Amino acid sequence: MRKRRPNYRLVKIHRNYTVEEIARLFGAHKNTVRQWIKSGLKTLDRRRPLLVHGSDLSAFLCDRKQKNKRPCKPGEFYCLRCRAPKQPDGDMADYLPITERLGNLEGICPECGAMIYRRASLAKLAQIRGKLDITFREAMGRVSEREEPSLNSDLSQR
Amino acid sequence: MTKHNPENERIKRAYFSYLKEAKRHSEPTVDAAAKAFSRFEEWNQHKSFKAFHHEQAIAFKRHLTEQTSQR
Repeated sequence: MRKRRPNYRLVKIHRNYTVEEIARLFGAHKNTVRQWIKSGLKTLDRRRPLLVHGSDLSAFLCDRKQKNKRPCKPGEFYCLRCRAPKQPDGDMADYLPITERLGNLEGICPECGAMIYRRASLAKLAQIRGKLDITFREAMGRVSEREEPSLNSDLSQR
Repeated sequence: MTKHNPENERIKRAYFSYLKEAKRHSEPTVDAAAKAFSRFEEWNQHKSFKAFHHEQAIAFKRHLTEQTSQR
């Protein structure tokens, strides 16, 4: 089955490949490979059949894979709408505990205004926070008990 | 910066296909040949195979014997 991200380690760096061979190697369509060539994959020369050197192909795919990653620096949250790490608006974030040691940091994206989150453990909060001003919000209370318990009971109606 | 000689690559390609299809060599054997070629070409600064002379081979063999093993 075709993999969504081709594994660049399958490429042999001392060999060269035609478009068809690359397509067969990854189970991709030939036009996909031709698209890679259009978008910057180097060929040996202009002569047909086009040949791609293994080391070039490997480097190209590896580079593409790295480009997709958007690591967050300290004080940055990943914004799903902008698809980039963003510093929360006003350098403010809230810490919402999930367990005793773990919680989510919540902020607002300065560009699109969406809520942005980052998972944070209390132990590593100092590394993650950067210059952020973090307010610790308490966890949402459970449904509170009533002072006078309800007298409606389905069981007693039977 | 990687450098290749396109003419050499095409010659090598034909030779690898000969090794695989006519000589029925296995994939790792062909890989080993490819690796040896690339080592020679790197030493040779990717000169064309058309300019090959037997003195080149002798010099390359001497170069190989002078190599210390890699740690």
